[in-house]
Amino acid sequence: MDINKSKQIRDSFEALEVEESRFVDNQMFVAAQIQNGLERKGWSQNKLSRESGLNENVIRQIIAGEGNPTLKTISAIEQALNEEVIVAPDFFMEELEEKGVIISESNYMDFSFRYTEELSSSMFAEGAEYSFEFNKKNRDQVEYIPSDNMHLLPKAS
Amino acid sequence: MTFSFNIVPFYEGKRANFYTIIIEGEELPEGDKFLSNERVNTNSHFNKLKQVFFNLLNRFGARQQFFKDEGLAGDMVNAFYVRRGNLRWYCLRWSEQMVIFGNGGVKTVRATQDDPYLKNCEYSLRWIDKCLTIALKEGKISVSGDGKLSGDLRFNKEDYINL
Repeated sequence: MDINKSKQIRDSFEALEVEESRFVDNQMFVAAQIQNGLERKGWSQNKLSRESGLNENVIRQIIAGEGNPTLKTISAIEQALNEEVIVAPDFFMEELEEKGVIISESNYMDFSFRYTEELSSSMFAEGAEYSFEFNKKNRDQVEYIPSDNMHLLPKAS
Repeated sequence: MTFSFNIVPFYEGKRANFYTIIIEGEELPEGDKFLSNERVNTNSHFNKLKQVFFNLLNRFGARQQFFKDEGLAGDMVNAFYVRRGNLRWYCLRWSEQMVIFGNGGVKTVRATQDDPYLKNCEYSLRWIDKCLTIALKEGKISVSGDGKLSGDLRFNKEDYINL
């Protein structure tokens, strides 16, 4: 095996500039998201075609990461699956927070400390390090006091 | 079609491990032959293939939706492809975490069987698939959950020809 030649070929491949890289990435994200949606529902591409009113070839092309679907097409798929395929991140996060589905990272405060006598509790092992995550909204209530509001994560050694 | 071959690492990523094959007596692994094939790397869709390849490696894993099932029922022969450019890169898609790439080319005929070069690429992988299936069954090789191959990755055709 000619290792140098192989390396040269692979280096050239890696260095190849892709003008439409963002477009290709988005094709794949949309494709993977729709496929995930189908798997969650246990649907075939044919079923999605029937539910969305879109041609099955169009759906097949999008799921293979080859399509350039319009917003109208994406909307029809979202409506059929009853879930988002594309999102506007700022508004989506806000909506999720309102629904209480997730709390964004900025609402958390992370810190860690080492067991001391003052923090003695059956929850802690002597000498072990722990980190905590808790919601800022409850911060005043739970400060330094282990409670159900705190997520206890023993640090990996 | 029978031959001896070794499986060698190709690319390692966050979501998958890609391997390729070097056939006994050949200078280059099959994956590198594909990449250095002028008809392939001057194809106007080759850059898309590169982007998809590295996205699978690092972002998505080798999801079946981005491959075309080829070969025989029950085998792992697939084509990694860019339909518009007619690029076909034959491979054994073991799982989302592991793919073994062979050779391929530009498909200009309706059926792969009509192009002797592409037919050869596909049939080579059928042989490799057979050897791997046996080696796996006999415990000569194993694949970890994160798609890493281990064991004796040298395959002597005499050991598999009559099985």
